[in-house]
Amino acid sequence: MDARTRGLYVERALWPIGRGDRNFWLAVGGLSALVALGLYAYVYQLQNGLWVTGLNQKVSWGFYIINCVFFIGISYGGAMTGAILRLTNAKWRAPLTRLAEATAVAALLVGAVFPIIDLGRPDRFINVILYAQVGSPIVWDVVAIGTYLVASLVFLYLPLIPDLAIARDLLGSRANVLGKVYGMLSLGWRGTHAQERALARGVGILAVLIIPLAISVHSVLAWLFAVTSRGAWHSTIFAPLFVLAAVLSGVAAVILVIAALRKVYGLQAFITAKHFRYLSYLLIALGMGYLYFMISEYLTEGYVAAEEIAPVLESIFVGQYAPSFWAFAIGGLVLPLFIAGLPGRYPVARACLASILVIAGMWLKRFLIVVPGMAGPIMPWEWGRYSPTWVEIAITVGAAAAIPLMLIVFFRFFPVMSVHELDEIEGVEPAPRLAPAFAGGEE
Amino acid sequence: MTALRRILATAGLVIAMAAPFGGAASADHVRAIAEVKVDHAEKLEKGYVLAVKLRGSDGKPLNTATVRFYQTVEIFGPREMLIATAVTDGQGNASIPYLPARLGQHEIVVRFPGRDHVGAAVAKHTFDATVAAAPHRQAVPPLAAFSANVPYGVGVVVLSVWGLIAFALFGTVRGVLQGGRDRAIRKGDTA
Repeated sequence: MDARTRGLYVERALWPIGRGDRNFWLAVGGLSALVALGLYAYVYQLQNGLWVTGLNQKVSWGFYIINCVFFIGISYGGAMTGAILRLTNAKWRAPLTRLAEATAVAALLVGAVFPIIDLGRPDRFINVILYAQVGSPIVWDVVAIGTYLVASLVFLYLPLIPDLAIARDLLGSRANVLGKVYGMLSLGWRGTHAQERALARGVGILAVLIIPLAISVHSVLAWLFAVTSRGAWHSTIFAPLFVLAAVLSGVAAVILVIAALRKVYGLQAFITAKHFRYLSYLLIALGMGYLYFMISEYLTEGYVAAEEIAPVLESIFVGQYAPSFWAFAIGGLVLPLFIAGLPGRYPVARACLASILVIAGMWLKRFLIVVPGMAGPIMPWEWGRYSPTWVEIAITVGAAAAIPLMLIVFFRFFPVMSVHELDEIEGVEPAPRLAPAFAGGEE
Repeated sequence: MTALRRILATAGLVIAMAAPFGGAASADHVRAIAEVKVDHAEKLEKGYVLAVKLRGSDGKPLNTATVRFYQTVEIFGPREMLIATAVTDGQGNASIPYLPARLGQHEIVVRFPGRDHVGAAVAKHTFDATVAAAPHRQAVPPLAAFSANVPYGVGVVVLSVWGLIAFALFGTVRGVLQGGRDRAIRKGDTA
């Protein structure tokens, strides 16, 4: 990469910082309105209790738990994408890793809130800690999600250090508040051997750690269902199925985030069709893996047709949940594989369309896991019914809007692409620093 | 005619319902009297013998009468828990062996529901149990020791993960700060 291209790359990476054009404020305004709608619905639920939702005695898990699994899954996919690209030293990763890692944190922050929303009384969450039962999957979940959140934040921050130094040098000054923040957060980065070594070690540890950590988080979420005595959930394949679903929907979300920010921030020169093709291949591989797992699950359970699960399977395949199931299986799983995999023009648009279908399909799949599993009677009673109310829908929409809002706000203050990583891959020497190092360094 | 039939039928039903509660049935009605006694069993570890003597108010023993033995327990308030059913002998006596589940005060209730022309009877007796069955011990399941230690194992793993995260963060921060303070030369330069 020549100096001019690198200069352009740095310029585009730092371009969103401090920019507040009309489109930015329109996006922030629109997304904030949706988030405010969700907050209003939540306050309404707090004031009136959970009866304002469609949750009931038989179907006590609905949209909130579906969203929890869904958003944490997206987060997991983002973290995995970043970690795998780093560990495999993929040469094309530089413009993508920051976006993937930021998506992971934003989605996790949203997903982790849903169990508290589902509680109805958020103050009771403290009881999970005060009266923790180590044998309870709820406690496992709190520990796993908490650990994963901290690891994701650290995994986002460490690779930012050199880029914050660039932002400090190019944008900030000591008199400027933002400059001071960059100076503090960049820890006096000058790109010395010792600093490079320390950073490479820290990022390496986290890149290795984040994968088993993310797998454990989603496995624990799956076990929350699988260790419950409900026929439709009592499955040994649930943990790998959840993990694969998470990566699949996460990669799809990363594709959408990258496509959106590429367009908004004018990154077309650096995030090219090649990146979308590679991510599409990843999407196809994961989708086929998920298809195999799903067929394996339904085939074994359907063939045995145990008394407690046969009615649930029947309701999913040909009963009241059949429209959702076939929409997911065909529209959200098989069709996207063809759209993303077929050779032809418009790879970016096709990757985006496939991702939208996958995300919608994977949300439906979570619905099909949670609701029929709860509605199906375990005693000889009639089926439970669940219809979400406007409160649940508004909170879901608000939560979904919170992710792009957080990303837009985050990238207004932090570089959208990793410059340091690009330099590492290209073997480019960093440009001379313009400002003295933060920690009293004398240059 | 139909209306008259209806009136007669209704009157007949009233008479039929009233019959068991009075009328002819009350003419030779006998009240039952029950007396409960609790004794130690022959072998102390076997607990107690709960005995009841049932006789009519005319003093005659009531034989072949079915009596029920209950213990008063507290389950959302006082409730009677059935212990056993027994049939009285020719002397009006019935008894059952009883080994309490716990030590302390016990209230035994014996109920005779009544029969034919004999009314019902209830008797209560309270005693202090000094002998009780050994507490139930659940058989130790296989892999119990393993299961009991799993939380500690998981705890160690979780702490290790937190340790690694802390090491990655603080190690990097320290390394970067130190590397910045050193008069080290930028990557690529020669010393």
